[in-house]
Amino acid sequence: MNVSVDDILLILKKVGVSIDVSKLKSNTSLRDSGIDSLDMANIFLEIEEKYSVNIPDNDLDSIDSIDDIVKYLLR
Amino acid sequence: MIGIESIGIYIPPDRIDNRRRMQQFGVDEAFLRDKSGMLRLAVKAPHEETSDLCCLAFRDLQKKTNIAAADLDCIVVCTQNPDARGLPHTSAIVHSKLGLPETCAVFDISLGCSAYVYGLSVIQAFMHSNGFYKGVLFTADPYSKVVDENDKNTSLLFGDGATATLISTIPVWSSGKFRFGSNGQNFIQVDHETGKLSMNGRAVFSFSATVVPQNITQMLVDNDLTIDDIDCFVLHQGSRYIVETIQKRLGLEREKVPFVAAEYGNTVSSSIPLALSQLPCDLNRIVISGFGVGLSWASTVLHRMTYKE
Repeated sequence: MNVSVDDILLILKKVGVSIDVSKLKSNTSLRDSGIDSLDMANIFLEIEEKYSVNIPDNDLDSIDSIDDIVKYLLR
Repeated sequence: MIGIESIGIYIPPDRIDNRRRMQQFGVDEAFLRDKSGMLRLAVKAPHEETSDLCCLAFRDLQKKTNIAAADLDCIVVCTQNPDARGLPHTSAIVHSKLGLPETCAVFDISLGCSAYVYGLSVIQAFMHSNGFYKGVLFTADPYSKVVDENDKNTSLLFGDGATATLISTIPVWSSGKFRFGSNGQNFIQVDHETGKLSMNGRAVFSFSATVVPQNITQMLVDNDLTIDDIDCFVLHQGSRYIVETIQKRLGLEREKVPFVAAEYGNTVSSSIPLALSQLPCDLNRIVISGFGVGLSWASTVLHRMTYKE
């Protein structure tokens, strides 16, 4: 599977998060950056659809940054 | 031809202002306005029962149509929060409170956010097969009976309301083919011990965002229509976020997919008819789509009827 930080940033832009994605660092907590629960649900749905994966609720706590997302998808 | 002649509504006057609860739930006004969409929630009076909300909606319908209780062949009440423990059925209680004739058939339908679309199909078919002329489809699902006021997932969303839709042989709106769906996953439920509502918000969002656009698209094909043939899409007003997400996934302009529930909340089965009652009169073809607890979903298209003088 090919997935990069830029791929995830594109998803954040597509979802239309209210923060400035260009200033987001890949190791920064998305939730602490101000992305709310609705946008987080949408982000995970877009990721599941794009990469044909299922992300169980139990795994969500360990996915908090873009780096976490990339690492999770490449595992 | 049997269809929708008029819609009576009742929204309780009391409101919970979500802006006074922002600190409690760690949200700001931008979240309320732009994401959940619900600034205020309508709440019934403590003594009001589900049947009372139905009767008040019926009184509004009478003002609009002069329909007499004695004229009704049937009524159907859509609710999952019936009077008391649901026995007798709420429609029987409404029958008594409105003084309906003994010849009037009454029954309840236990569905939530998909109830209006399912209910429309059911009552129309029931009336057609029995040669009935006038019936009323009620929606009344006061979630204030079951919402946990400390639950962020649900406490900021749901409001109380009721509608009474006159179904008759002189319709303003006739329906096309329906498309229904079900998936018995309990992402929304009332706990049998606490009696309180709980909802897996992420699961419900994912379901709504993926299943509903497919259902609408397939329903339009069934009706030999395309997206461009539709003037307005009235979606269940679950939240502003889900309405806009489905709008984007269908490739629609925002103006075609109204969100009108900001001042009273997600009224469950009443959300579609309440929205229909607020639409301008120059629309000819409307999609209605209900989706939620069950999981259950359904869509159809409404065509405006024109009558020759």
